[in-house]
Amino acid sequence: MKRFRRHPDESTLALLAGGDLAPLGRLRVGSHVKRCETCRRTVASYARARSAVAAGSVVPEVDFAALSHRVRVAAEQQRERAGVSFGWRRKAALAALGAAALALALILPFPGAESPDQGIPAEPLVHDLAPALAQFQGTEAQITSDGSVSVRTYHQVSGALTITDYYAP
Amino acid sequence: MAIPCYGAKSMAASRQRDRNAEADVESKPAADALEAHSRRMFGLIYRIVGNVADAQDLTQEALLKALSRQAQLKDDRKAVQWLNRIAVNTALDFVRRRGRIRFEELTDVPAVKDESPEQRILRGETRAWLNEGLKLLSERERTALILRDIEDWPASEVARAMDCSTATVRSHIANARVKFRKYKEGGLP
Repeated sequence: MKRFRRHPDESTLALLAGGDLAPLGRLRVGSHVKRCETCRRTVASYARARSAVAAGSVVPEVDFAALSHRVRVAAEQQRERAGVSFGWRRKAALAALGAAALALALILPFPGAESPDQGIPAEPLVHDLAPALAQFQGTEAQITSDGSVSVRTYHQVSGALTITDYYAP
Repeated sequence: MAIPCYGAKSMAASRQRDRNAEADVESKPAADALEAHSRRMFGLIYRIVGNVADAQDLTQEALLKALSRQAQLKDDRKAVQWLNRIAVNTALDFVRRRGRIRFEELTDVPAVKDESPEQRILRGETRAWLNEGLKLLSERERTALILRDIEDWPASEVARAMDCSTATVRSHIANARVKFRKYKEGGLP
C-alpha cells in the first residue's frame, strides 16, 4: 500500500472528514492521519466546520397545511384548464374530421355508379395510333369501345388479308 | 484518537431517514402525504435559495411540476428521491435565473417551533454568519455542500440531483469545505 511521504492535501483531508473518500483512499489517508498530529487536528477542524454548517441551517416553520392546500387548489385549476383545453382540441379535431369525410364523399364516386367519362377516349388514343395506321396503305381500321384498334390490311397481289389488333394499354 | 469520520454513519442515517420518509408518506392519506412532501421539499429549497418567501413559492412550483409529471415516476418507491430532484432543480434554476442568492436579513429571521426570543436572536446571528460563509462559495459548491453536509445525502445522490458525476461532486464538496473552514477560522473575509 502506498504511503504518504508528505501530508495529504487539504481537499483530501476535507473529504476524509466527511467520509467521502473511496475505501482504499480512506485507508491510506487514515493510516497517515493516525500517526500525524497536524493532519489529525486539520481533520478534526473540518469535522467541526461541517457540524457548524449543519447546526446553523435550521429550517423555519411555515404553515405547511396552507402551502399544501394552495398546491391542491392550483393543481385542480391546472387540471380544469387542461380539461377545457382538451375539450376544445377534441371538438376542433372532430369538426376537421367531419369536414374531411364530407369532402371525400363529394369527390369520390359511389361504388358501382357509372362514371360519366366512360366511353371511347378518342382523341389521345387515336392521336397515338395515327402513325401506326399511316404505315398501312389501303387498309381499314376499326376502333372498338374499349380503345383497341383492329387493322385489316388487304394485299392487292396475293389477296391475303392480315388482321392486326392493337390493344389499348 | 479516533479519526472523526462521519461518512458511513451519516449515509446510513440518510438512507434510514429516506426509508422513514417513504413509510411515513405511504401510511398517511394523500393530503397528509402532500404536506409531508411539501415540508421536506421546502427545507431543501429554503437551504438553497436562502429565504422563506422564495422557498414557499418554489415549493409550490416544484410540487405542481411533480403533480403534472406523475406519469414519469415509474417506481413509487423512488418517489422521495424523484421529488427531491425536482425540488433541487427548481431551486437551482431559480438561483441561476436570479444570478445570486438573497438571504434573509437578520431582522426577518422566521420563527421556529418552541423557541424563545433569545434563542431566535442567537439563531439569527448564527444564520447570518453561516450565510456570509455560504456566499463565498460558487453556486455548485454551495449546493453540493448543502445536500451532502446539511441534508446528509450520499455523494451519488447529490450527483444525480446536480446532473454531474460523483467525482465532480466530491471536488465541489472538497472545495466548499476548504473555503468554509478558512472562513470559519477567519482566513477569508
